[in-house]
Amino acid sequence: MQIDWQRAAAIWPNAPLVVSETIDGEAIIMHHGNGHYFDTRGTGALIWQAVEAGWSFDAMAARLVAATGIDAGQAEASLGSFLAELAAQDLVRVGTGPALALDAAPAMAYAPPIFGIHSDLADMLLLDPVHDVDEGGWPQPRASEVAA
Amino acid sequence: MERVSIILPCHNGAAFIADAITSVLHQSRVVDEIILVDDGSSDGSADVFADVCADVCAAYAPPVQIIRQSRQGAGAARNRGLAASSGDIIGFLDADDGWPLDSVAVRLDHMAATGADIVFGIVRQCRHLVGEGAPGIGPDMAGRLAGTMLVRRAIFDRIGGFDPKLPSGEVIEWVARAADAGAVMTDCDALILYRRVHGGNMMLQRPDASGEALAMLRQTLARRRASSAA
Repeated sequence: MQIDWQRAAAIWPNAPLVVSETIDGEAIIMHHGNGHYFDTRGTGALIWQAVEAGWSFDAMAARLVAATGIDAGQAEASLGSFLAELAAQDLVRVGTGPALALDAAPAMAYAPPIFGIHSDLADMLLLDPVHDVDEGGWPQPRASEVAA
Repeated sequence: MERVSIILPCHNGAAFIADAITSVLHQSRVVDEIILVDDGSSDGSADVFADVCADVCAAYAPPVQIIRQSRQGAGAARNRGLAASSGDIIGFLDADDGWPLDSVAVRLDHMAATGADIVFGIVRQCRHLVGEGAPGIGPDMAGRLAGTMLVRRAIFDRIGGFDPKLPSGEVIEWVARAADAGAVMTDCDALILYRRVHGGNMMLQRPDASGEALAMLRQTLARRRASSAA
């Protein structure tokens, strides 16, 4: 389903499947469902912090403008593409507020928001006991895998 | 013949460690050395371990060491056992898990057939009992866990041991480091480990487990960047 990000009142990480932490301008994101993990570059962490805080599209775009000085049109285009890529990895969802407050982003030169995808440790992350385990076992095969 | 050392790190595992050590002592391929590293237990884990060994070892007496240390975490405990071991090939079994009787033999055969440095295998999760015939929770799955891992000592000599500063995920971080160093890894298609799921499982009861995993991933990515920049 195509999501109209610009109408989203709040965009959140896809919890509880997705956990993340942003330190020193870099976000590390992990998807418990597939064992992939991600790191951000450019303005990726600046946006991901706003995702962690459940901000709206408009508020995220304004944060990007305020930090980098790019014009609103470029910020919206850049943000829209980035959110679509995050959504393709099942990392974000549209939700409701209330949004959390963030400190103003430090000024920085604009660089496109991007993230790296890492799947090399997926088997171990999926099997690691950090996963909640119940009588259903862990991890559960996807419905598509069961059907196959 | 290559010598096999088995290391059992343990912190308050008295309720389960008899099953674990029994499964090691009854391996179809008799192991050459068993080392318990009691990481600050207060429940008499080492005494239970010693009692089982005293009963079983009379038959063939594999050398057994018991090392006691103040609580330093799983990574430090594994390293302590590693430092005290003398085998060419190293295996680990957590105190609450167990092995099928041919776990070591199957992995050694696979290692010899493939020339791999590290062999993993299939995991069955169990609720209460571990051992032959114990019912599994969900399907058996390939698993790169400490308990499925058999490693040539040369790999530890080359890249070092587990990171003792990581409160969890130290095995994942080590395996990633081994892979980046070119260690040859393989997974055998045989049941290797019964993993017991219980309320006391180390990470299940800790709310900050995800944060620890993220810190481990951040450390792994930083190491790779530093390595590629060098």
